[in-house]
Amino acid sequence: MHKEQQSFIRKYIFSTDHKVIGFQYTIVGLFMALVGGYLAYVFRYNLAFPGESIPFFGDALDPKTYNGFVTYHGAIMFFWVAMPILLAGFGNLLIPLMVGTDDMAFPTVNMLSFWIFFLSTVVLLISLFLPSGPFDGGWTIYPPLSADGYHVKPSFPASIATGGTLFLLALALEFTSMIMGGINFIVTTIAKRTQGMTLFRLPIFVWFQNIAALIFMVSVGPVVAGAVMLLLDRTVGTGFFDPARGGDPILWQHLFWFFGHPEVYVILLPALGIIGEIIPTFSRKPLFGYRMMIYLVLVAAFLSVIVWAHHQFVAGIDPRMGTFFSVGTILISVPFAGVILSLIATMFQGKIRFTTAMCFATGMVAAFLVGGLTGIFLGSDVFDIYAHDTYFVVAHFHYTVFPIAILASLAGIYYWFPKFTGKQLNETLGKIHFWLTFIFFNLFAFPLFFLGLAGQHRRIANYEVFDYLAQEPFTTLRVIATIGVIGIWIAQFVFLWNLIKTLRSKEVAERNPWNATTLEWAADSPPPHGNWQTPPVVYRWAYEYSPENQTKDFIPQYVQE
Amino acid sequence: MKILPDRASSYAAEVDSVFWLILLFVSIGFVITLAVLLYAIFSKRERAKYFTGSNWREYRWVAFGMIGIALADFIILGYELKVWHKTQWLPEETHYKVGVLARQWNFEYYYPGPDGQLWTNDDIIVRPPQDTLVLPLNKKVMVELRSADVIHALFIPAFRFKYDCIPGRTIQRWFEPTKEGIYMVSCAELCGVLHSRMRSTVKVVPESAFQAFLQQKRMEPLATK
Amino acid sequence: MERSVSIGRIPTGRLGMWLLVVGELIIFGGLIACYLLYRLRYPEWEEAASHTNMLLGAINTFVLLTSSYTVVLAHKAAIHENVSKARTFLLITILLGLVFLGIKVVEYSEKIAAGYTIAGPSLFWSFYYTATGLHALHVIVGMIALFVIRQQIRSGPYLHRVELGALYWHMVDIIWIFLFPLFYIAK
Repeated sequence: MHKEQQSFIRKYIFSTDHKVIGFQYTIVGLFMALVGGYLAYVFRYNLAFPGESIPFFGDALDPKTYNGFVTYHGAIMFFWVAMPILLAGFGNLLIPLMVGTDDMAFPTVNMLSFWIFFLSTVVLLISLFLPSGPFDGGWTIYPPLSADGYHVKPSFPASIATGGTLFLLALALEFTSMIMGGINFIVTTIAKRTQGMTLFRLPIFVWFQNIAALIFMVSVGPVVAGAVMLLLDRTVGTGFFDPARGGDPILWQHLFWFFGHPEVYVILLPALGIIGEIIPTFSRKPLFGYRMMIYLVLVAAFLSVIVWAHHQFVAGIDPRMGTFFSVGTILISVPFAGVILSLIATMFQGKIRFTTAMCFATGMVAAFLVGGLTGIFLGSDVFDIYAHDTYFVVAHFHYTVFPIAILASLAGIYYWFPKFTGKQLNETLGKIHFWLTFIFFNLFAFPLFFLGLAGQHRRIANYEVFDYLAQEPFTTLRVIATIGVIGIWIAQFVFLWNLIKTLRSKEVAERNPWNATTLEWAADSPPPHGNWQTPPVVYRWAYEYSPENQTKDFIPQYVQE
Repeated sequence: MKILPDRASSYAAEVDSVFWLILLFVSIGFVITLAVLLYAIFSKRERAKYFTGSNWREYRWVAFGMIGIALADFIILGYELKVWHKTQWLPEETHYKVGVLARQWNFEYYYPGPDGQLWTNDDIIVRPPQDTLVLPLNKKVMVELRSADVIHALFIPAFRFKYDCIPGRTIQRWFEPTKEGIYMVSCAELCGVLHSRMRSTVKVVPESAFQAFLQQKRMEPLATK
Repeated sequence: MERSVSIGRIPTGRLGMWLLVVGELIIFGGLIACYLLYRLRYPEWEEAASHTNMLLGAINTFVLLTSSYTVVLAHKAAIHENVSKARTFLLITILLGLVFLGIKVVEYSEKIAAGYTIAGPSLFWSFYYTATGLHALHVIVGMIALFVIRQQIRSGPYLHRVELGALYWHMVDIIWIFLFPLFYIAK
């Protein structure tokens, strides 16, 4: 299956190789993480030291720019960091290898998806630098605000080159790209598995990626339709969400959150999949409750598409609906408790080896536990009325999304780095990176709970006009949170140094440095285009670690006994 | 440092009790899970024990955990839905009506005029530069929320009260102030450039003072209308 | 743990196309659901709906149904590896698509001349143009796809792609089957 020598452009730019595409997604995602992180630094600094000029930026933020920055920070971290890295990046790199095939089912479509995604990134970045300013209507894009309050009648061609229109366009392109990618994942998994790779021998990562792709496909349709409607509202003057013309702004909230809540699971599941590969490897133990975990996640996936209105308790929805959505939301804690406990049970009585990847994985579980449990507060409609749109919510979702998008991604990068580059990241630097990231993350996010409980509401550039929020101890808490963000930044320089150092070194990693069982470790490091000289054959499930009556403590899937 | 701000409405204490109840269960769950996690991490072994959790005997520990969470969920829901019912459905009798009209970037407050109806021409209106919502002590007040432009939210932390003001809709909720004083009001929904400065205050006064306030407002020239 | 569950091998193209069709149907489903919600809220849209041209709509339904039949014939010819016949029926399908779009243009210009544009007077018209316009866009995409397939099968082992194109074309047809009664008949 070796392809002949290809030109640089065919090989690295317009490549149909799933690994190159996976890298492209990951690199764009990491770049956007820097952009999103930079925005976070700027507005956190502004919150801690209101009115003072910001190092590496300039003057203090005016409210409009502040609103723009929080909007882009949210959207970027969700759609241009978590999605490309976790879903598209890791999915592309690993799924074909893990199911033992040479490439995705539709390599050309795969390449196309990436370039649509790339286009969406470019459109988004353009919208950030428009002379009329970036879009500043919040990442949830609630109309009428996102349609400029409908005060201004759009004049057709000019109305396209506005921040909000380009923002929506970028989002629509991103969705298209991810739908195409998701279809590729599902088809590859169903139709291109190698000999012996039955469904219940698939690594948990492949399962979770596919369930994520499925949830995404099912939930994103209505918001795509909604985005088209909102785009028309902004450009040609329809009034789908304009109450003055019979439209209804709440409709957008339904469309958005019908997608928005499952979307969290679309990024959560790949993260859990990564963790689910790493923990067994470094505990030398089979993944606990493998099948149950799949069933539980399917239950959670189903629940996720019927609880969306818990984001709208304060929007005056019918109280009976509130009851329904509250019950559904809180009950989601049950399947996820099963998943998290199973991951912990996997470590139980294992022989644990604390590599950097394992540190990040364990840290992810611990931090996500806080995020998941605080979700119960917000699932309760009574308390949500108070906590909605306060920093309690901000703290809660940073405790879910940061472990997902950052800790799990980094865990995966440390774990699979030797496979895809042939070189192994430095462990000492890796551990420094982990501890700095983990500690500073908590330093950043935990104070936000107290700020939220005190009634500090979101998306405020400067709290000086809000009585007691402008006093101690809240000013200090805001400074602590900002120090946390700066600390997270410093930690990433350690990572950058590690990357540069490793890539420049001549040391070559082993084929299977962690003694792992899944198929990707049977390929060369890095795997060539086409992955295998001869396709592997699968003889067992993915987690045969420390089997009884054996001297070896692992038997890979591809080894015949 | 107080975790939650001062309470000044009849149901604030119950809302807080929901918080403390959930915090209790969540803390128990968190401590147990973290303890197991730490134990699993720090217990050293020569060789890992092989078990897959594919039968009940092994899986039951996780199942117990799930049952525990489910039980806690039901206790929380059982309690909090009762409070939900109390806070959301309008009480049979409310003593006063107040209208809130949010606009970029302030709140206007409406009291019914002689006709007893809100949103009519004879309403008594408090609008900037005055920005205080005066309320009677220990009286149930029905609030009607509206918006003139984009979505806002009226947030009175001391009352544990927060609802959106949505253009094209009227949202009816209620509260009963139970403590005299002046409290902060903020807009809790991103509403445009000056969202950061959109604020107001609530002033709770005895009913007699409230009546006097209304009387005085009625005397003011109607020119502002 | 060693219980094996295996499923039959499905051709990747067909599976992928089915998933795409499902994804598209959900997008249109969202749009139609929004329309229905508004329609139930505003009975006065009846009046607006009575201005749509049911005759042209019905003719278009007929055209599209016929094109679905011809694409089935193309598929059948492809199964029998009759390239020239498959290409003929694909051409007829594409031409029928053109007829559909032509009638659409007549319809739109008639409406715009009467003052019913995408921006009003009623939100009904916004939905009308958005839904039928988005559908027309899919007709165009389908025609391009069928055209490309028609070129490909002339020289190359791509006969199975006729089925994929046909699947997509059926989806376009099915969406219209929903749009026609909702916008033209329901008064």
